[in-house]
Amino acid sequence: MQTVTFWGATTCYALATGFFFVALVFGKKWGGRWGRVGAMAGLLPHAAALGLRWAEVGHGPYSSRYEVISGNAFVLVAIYLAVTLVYRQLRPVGAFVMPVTFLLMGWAVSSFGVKGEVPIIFKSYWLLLHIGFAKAFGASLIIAAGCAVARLIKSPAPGRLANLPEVERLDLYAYQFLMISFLFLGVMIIAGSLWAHQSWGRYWGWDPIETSSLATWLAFGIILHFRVLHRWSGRRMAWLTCVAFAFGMATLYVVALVVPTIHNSYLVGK
Amino acid sequence: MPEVPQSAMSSRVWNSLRSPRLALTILSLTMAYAAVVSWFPWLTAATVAAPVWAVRLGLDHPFRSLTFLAACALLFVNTFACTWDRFGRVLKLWRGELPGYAARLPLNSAADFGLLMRDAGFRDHGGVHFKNRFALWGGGVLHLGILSILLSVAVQQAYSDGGSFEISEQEVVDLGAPGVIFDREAGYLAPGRPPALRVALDSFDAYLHQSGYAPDRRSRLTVLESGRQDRKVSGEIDRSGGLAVGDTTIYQAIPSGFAIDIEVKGAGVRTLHLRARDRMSALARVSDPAGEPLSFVLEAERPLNDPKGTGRITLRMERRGGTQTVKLGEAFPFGLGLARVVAVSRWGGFTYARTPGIALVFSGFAVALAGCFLLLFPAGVARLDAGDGEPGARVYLSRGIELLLLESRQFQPGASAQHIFGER
Repeated sequence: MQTVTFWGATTCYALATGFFFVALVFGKKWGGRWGRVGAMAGLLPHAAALGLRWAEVGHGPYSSRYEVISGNAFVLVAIYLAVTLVYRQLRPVGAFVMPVTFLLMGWAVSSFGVKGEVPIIFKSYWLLLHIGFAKAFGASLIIAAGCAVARLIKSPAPGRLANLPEVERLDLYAYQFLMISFLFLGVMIIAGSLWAHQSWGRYWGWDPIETSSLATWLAFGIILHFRVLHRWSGRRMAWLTCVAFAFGMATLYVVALVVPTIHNSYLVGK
Repeated sequence: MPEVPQSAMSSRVWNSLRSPRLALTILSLTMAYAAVVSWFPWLTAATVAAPVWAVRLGLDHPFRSLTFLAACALLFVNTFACTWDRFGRVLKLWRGELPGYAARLPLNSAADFGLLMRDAGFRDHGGVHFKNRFALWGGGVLHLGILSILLSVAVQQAYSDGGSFEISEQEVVDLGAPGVIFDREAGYLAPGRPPALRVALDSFDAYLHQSGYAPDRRSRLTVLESGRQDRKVSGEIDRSGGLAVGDTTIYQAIPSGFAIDIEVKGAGVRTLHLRARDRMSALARVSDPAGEPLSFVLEAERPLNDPKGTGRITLRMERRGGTQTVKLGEAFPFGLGLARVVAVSRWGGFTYARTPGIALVFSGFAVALAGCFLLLFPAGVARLDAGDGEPGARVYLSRGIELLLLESRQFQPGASAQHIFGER
């Protein structure tokens, strides 16, 4: 049943990606509408797949690569849909969000069979905050990067890709979501350090992921200073948002795969 | 906000300290430093020793090096100067005074201004229009939080104290006694001695399977504050949390192994902690009361760390003259007299930590998060400004000014504008 629901969700996301592509490239408004319908339709079986896995292994989506990546994809789609309920002009950015979701699902399924019990240190309420905000951080950063990339594509010829909002609006959305991801990253770091203090009596151990997340937070701080103090905007800021995206993705997905760290378990795969 | 420096020299220093360029430089260098040193092999693997050049440069512990501490101190001073300066700027905005870089909005009439501002989410306060006025303080509050965190963590690190110890089942250790604590790390202002606590390990399970979690250590401890017999705390701990006794918390650590209790005639019971020699055996090297070196070797049928059990255990004593099997309760020659093994149990590793001032750290975190939250709301100030005779207005908006200018050009009274966080 888990397999069926997971592949059902993946198929919906693949269709949504196709529809958004049609809307973006060919300017077909129905493409955007059906893209959102596909994303919404995918969310239900996706929730079922995650729920079934939760019931089977006895813990939330935070231990193996499949659970973590699939959970992150779910949060990304959920946040995108929730935000675009209110901010309609953000909807075409689905053309950048849904392909990422589809890729995440593809990566997740590569470790579908990995199951196991979580370490005893996961017995903490701080875990929920730490992991919850890590997922929200990743999702908001992907949306920020989506807006920045859309702005970079649209800015040479603002009349092109008419479905996308004006470059000024994309610039503002990218900034807004970068700010939100800065907040989420801050909460994630703080909750993680309080969790470490609860378990081991120390807030900070300079573990590679801890150091990387601090470096990412500092990088975000630098980028936001350029915006606030030096009034950088436009293409320069869009490129910097892409740099922030690279930092964030490296912290979330790369460091744990290449360096021994106390965080290795969350991306354990085959 | 009053200007702090008086003389030209101090003014120059103050201006340098609060400059955004200095902030960006320190942040960039700190980030690059952290990103590079965190890859040092002696930081990623406990078995690798730092080379001589790294020790000479203070990079064996890069995050305790003088360079890093100096950067943190400079960051604190810069953030303080920036925050001081920022509060002055925000106070002016709060009063409705616009900065020189406020954008100018071209308008057809004063009436248009009111309508445009209303559509853009501004509210009129006696001729000055504010948008999310409270959020003007966001950046200042965030910086205040960062200052509090830096200060409280520095204070806490100065007073912090922690160390490791080992104890076997039914053993009692005095943490203040010489040789009990190892790997102690204490801040400059920490107490000179470890806490005066007597710790007893009532029970220890190295592989307890708690529902939903992988098998792990779990202990029951009784802790007595020396000199305060009435203060006795007992509790169970695993690696998810500690046992607090006064200002000290005791945590379960990972190391574990086998222990033997030896009763030496006339000298009482001594506990020996055995170290793993290979997967199936462990040993302890000691000298007997006559000063002769010997080893106790414990061998098991199955791996020592198999959660399902070790199977049959045998114990022998190895010395220069030969090897002797030791059986539980049977006397064997030990030094000039006799001894017997009275128990075989497990020892567990523990740590203690004293980290005073945690409430300060929490408060700093809370203030920083409050600042981040306020920053989520775009804040603005606007007022009519005739300028060079043309009708117009000047606007400060923390973000989205380009969009507001675009919308003001397209503005038609009666048609609602669309704004982020205003659009529905």
